[in-house]
Amino acid sequence: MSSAIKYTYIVLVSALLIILQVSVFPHLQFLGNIPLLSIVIVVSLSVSGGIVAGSTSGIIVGVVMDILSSRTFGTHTLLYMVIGLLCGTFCRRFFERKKVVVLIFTLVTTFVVEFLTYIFSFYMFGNRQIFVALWHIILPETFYTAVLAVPCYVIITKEWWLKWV
Amino acid sequence: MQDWFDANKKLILILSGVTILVLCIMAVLTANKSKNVWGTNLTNAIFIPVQSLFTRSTSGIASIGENFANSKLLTQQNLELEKKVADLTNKNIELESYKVENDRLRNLLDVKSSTKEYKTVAAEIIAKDIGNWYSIITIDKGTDKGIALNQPVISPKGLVGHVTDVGKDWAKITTILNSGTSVGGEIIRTQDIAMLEGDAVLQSQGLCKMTYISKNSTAMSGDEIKTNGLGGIYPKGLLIGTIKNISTDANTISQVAVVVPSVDFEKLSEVLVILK
Repeated sequence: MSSAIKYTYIVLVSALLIILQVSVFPHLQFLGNIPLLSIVIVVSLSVSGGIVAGSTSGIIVGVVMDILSSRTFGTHTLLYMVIGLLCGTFCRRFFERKKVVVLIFTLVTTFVVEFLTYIFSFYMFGNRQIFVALWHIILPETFYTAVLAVPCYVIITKEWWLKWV
Repeated sequence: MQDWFDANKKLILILSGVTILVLCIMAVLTANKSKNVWGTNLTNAIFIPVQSLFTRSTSGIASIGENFANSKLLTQQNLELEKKVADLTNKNIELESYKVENDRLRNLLDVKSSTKEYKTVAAEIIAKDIGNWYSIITIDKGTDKGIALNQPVISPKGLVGHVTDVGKDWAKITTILNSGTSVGGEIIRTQDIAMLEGDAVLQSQGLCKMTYISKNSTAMSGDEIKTNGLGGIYPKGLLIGTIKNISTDANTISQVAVVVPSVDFEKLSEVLVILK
């Protein structure tokens, strides 16, 4: 497969996953939470493509999420860039069992991102329900995202369906 | 570590540049917000059409599933019935409110009606915040239609929130579900005054909480709540929702209630901004 088709495919699938996160998953909530497929995209591309692919996809997905979000521009861009950079760096050491690596990195990054969001946006402004937030939002969201991580990784990186086109 | 830096020198340089650029943009947008109207307007002029296009197209995708489940006729009937129920609920609330007020003021001569005619602007929701933490919506009307900061926003079913950011042809509404939002509320049946607050955890379930309810209050599940007019943002008498359950706050001597808003924020597509 030529690189142009491969990149087009990755862009289209990533766009589709973001559309699913914003439009379909609000109707398929798990304990009132939607999965962060945007993180799965960055982790998957970091694991399969390495540090450059990871940080580049982190910036692009982050900018898209910032545009779609109502918050100040830049927070998603910086966070996702760091996720791409770290995942791309550490994942170079893993050549086998990449699905397990994606699962573990998705679990860790989603938990850290959501925990930091809670700390900097709520805890520092007086909300002291840290265990309630963990139990009702952060953990279910992390679990839900992790469950979808491997199927999304397979769809993003294995162009199996193109054989049928 | 040194090897890693040497191997990725070019990439780290580019990423440092991106970081500085993003931090500069963030600083321009957040620091001294009132003086940087151009910065906010510029970014929103770029982002809001994209958000709008995205929301319209994705809501189309989301509605495909609904169309499969329901026939066109049923959907239409459902909409009509929902509208009728909303009208009747509002009328019922209004009548109940009148009854309580009438009893209280029966022996007084100078009775003033608490109802007012509000001048409103109808607006369409063009974007909703993504993620699980915030409840902020963007509408397609702004200062050109007379919308200003802190104006209350309602729907036919009840209170939605208030305007927290506004541009020429857009405005951002922070809903009553959003953590950090406070609304002065009154339980219609018992006339207890309390504070309705958004909660980060309850928000994900489409609920909010009512705090500082007097420990002597006889409020119970099913009681309806309206705005009490205190605080300067929301006028008196707007329906907020109903109490789901009530309990004594472990930390204070007051009671706390979980409230189901009368507005279904998931299905909300149009709102009315009350012009002050």
